[in-house]
Amino acid sequence: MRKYIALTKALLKNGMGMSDGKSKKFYQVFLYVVLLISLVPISGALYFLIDEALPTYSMIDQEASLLGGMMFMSCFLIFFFSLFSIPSIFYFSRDNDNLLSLPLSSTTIIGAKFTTCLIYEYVFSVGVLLPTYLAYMNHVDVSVLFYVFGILSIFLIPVFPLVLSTFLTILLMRIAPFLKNRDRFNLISGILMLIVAFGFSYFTNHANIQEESDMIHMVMQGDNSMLELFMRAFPMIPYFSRSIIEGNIMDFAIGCLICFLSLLLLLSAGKYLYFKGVIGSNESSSSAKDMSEKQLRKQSRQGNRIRTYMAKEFKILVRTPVFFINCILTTVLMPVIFLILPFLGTLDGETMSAVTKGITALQELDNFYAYVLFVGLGCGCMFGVINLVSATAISREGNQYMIMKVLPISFRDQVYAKLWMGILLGFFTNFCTLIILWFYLHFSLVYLFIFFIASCITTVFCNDLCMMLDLTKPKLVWEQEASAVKQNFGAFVSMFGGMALCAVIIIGCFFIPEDYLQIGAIALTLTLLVLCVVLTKVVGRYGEKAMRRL
Amino acid sequence: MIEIKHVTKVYGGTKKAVDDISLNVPTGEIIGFIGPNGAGKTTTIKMITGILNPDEGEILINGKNIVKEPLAAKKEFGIVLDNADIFLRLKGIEYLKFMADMYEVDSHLRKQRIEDLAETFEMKHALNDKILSYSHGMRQKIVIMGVLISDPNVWILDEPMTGLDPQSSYQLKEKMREHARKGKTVFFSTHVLEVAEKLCDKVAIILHGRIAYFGTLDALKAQYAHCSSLEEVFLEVVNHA
Ligand SMILES: Nc1ncnc2c1ncn2[C@@H]1O[C@H](COP(=O)(O)OP(=O)(O)OP(=O)(O)O)[C@@H](O)[C@H]1O
Ligand SMILES: [Mg+2]
Repeated sequence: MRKYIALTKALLKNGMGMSDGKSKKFYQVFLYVVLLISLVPISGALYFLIDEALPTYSMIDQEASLLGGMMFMSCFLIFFFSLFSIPSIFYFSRDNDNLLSLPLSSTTIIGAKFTTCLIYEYVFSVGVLLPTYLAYMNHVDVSVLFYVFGILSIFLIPVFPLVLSTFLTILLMRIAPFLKNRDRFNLISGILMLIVAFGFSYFTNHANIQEESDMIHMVMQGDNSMLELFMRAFPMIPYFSRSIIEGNIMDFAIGCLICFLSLLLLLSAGKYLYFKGVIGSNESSSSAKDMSEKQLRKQSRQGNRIRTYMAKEFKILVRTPVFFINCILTTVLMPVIFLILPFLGTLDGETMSAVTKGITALQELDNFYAYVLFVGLGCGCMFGVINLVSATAISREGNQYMIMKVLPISFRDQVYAKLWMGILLGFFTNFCTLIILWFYLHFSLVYLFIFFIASCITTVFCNDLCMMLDLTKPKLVWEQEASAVKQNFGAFVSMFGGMALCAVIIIGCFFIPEDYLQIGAIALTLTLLVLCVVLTKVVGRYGEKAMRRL
Repeated sequence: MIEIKHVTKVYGGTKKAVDDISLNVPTGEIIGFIGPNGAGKTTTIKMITGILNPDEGEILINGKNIVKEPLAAKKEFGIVLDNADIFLRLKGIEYLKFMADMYEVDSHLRKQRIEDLAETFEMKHALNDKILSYSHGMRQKIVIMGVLISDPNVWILDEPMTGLDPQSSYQLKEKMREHARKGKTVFFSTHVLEVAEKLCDKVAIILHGRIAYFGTLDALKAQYAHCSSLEEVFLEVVNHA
């Protein structure tokens, strides 16, 4: 037990993804506060939703099933997200090599790693269940037991879904050893994640009204029968939800027992499965093919330095699965996700042809180009930065940033090489958008051209800004590439900044009076053009200074 | 030639890692930099190479100030850092091309050098693989090759022998000797006293961030005539500091 506590503490201190060794406590606290604040709107929305819905549910005696539903939601979120974090914590973490050689039992290691995961997952249970309980307090007579069980359940509920996903992972790693190659695993799971996301958005767009009424019908049958539904996946939910509404101690005890037993099962199964699966999980394949004379000659030709530097950047982006999925794949997928799926994918043939006819008619208008300018500028902001190439340009180097400092190529040139990479990929995304505009909406060549120019201006502008942000506060201390992109606060800010700017420009243009529309569009475009030229100049000088400070 | 003049580095405002060091590393010689763990070797090397800025003092490499004219200074030296895990996603050959391009090595020189180096370090078959698949020693070797491909005037190495097999460490020592023979500078840190004894013309001993001794090993041994081995001499120096 003492070993377990010591190991958990060590893992937590080491792994709190956010800390970067260099920055002060204050900054870390600040990050957590920001994270919490960003949770508030979602939790707040949940609160009002439940506050609204609860009276209806209590009319038909279904308070417990609404609560069960919320518990199900938090369980599902935990299950889903942990599926992607558990492999990296249990299998691909660099500390494994050290841990395996220490005199620790698999139970201790699994226990400690499980606890660290659990602590991260409390975000979901707190974020979902806390507003739920608060809303319930407005409508249901609450007893002391409600508070006690409510608070305890927030901490107990995540155990079960996490056990489930951990167990699945451990089993999978044992029986499917080809997943043990970290790169392969990351690639496959990343693509799976995208497919799920696509599927989900398709499903919600095409969801049948029919099914909804089925749901209501089921609910109407009364007496918490809906609980049966949740029972199957997460059997402790009905016990917890009933115990909280009815203050039933017995039910609560059963819920706890289920969580406890599942944990026990995981630990004992882990004994047989974990060590065998974890050994050798950091391998990578080598081809051992010899180089031909021709290859050698090609590789030993002198090249332009900036181009070579960009080639290196590109190779690393493409060959590192996490970067590939987040930075390269997104350049093609984002216009599809943002344009085709939500707007175009949901329209049937007739509506679609009406839309294209409308667009064709609009193209006749004198001031249509102004709208195209606005939309182009907006799209350029979002699509230009969403690949995060510039936003993580320095962060991606991690502890290799020292190499940048010793190379005999100026910091300026290095910054520009990285910046061009991001801008080029942004341009590529803009180009993909053109194809969609041309294919679905039959934009004429002139408008396509205007759109492209406009979007490229803001793409450069936003890439400059992202680059400067990452230069100011790069996240250089990380264990896995994933945290350079996904757990990077600066990248997060860049992405949402780009989206916000996009929204402001596109929505803003509808508030401009008709008479000023054209002049406004041209003025904005020219301003941004000037800004982007100036900023691009500044980035180099700023980069020189910032890199010296690193 | 490396000139270190009254250089001081303080970490986090309190921890004095390097304390007013002055050192002249001459050309044509191999200088060993030895000292116990945490003495400040890596910190010094990082300052020489521009990874860290000194808080006080200045450093010249072949007369070029690393802080004031970093590019010119960086062209003078090649560095093997103590962490060899770099550019893991590149293939060995791609890494060499990258380094050669950064140091602007001529096309016709390159091919010859790549072939020679691959031969010497027995890396021919590995060049087409990603560095990720290399062993620790192989990673060390590709980094060394990346430096030698540009044949720098000053060669700086931080604990280069760790992880190398006997042949490779022999080859590395040969390369260092060859480098010095050509009238260039070699400056390397090590913990292995035997290496220092056999290889170095002079050693600099650093203790708690200060230079405790700089000169030939023979002169040092003469100072401590009662000690029978270099190891004893070293321990004596450390204990009396
Ligand atoms: N990034 C850092 N932040 C704070 N202190 C540091 C940092 N790096 C090194 N130090 C401190 O500076 C001192 C010198 O460290 P340095 O790495 O130069 O030692 P070294 O001689 O290379 O040791 P070794 O032989 O173990 O490699 C040590 O006391 C260390 O604690
Ligand atoms: Mg060191």
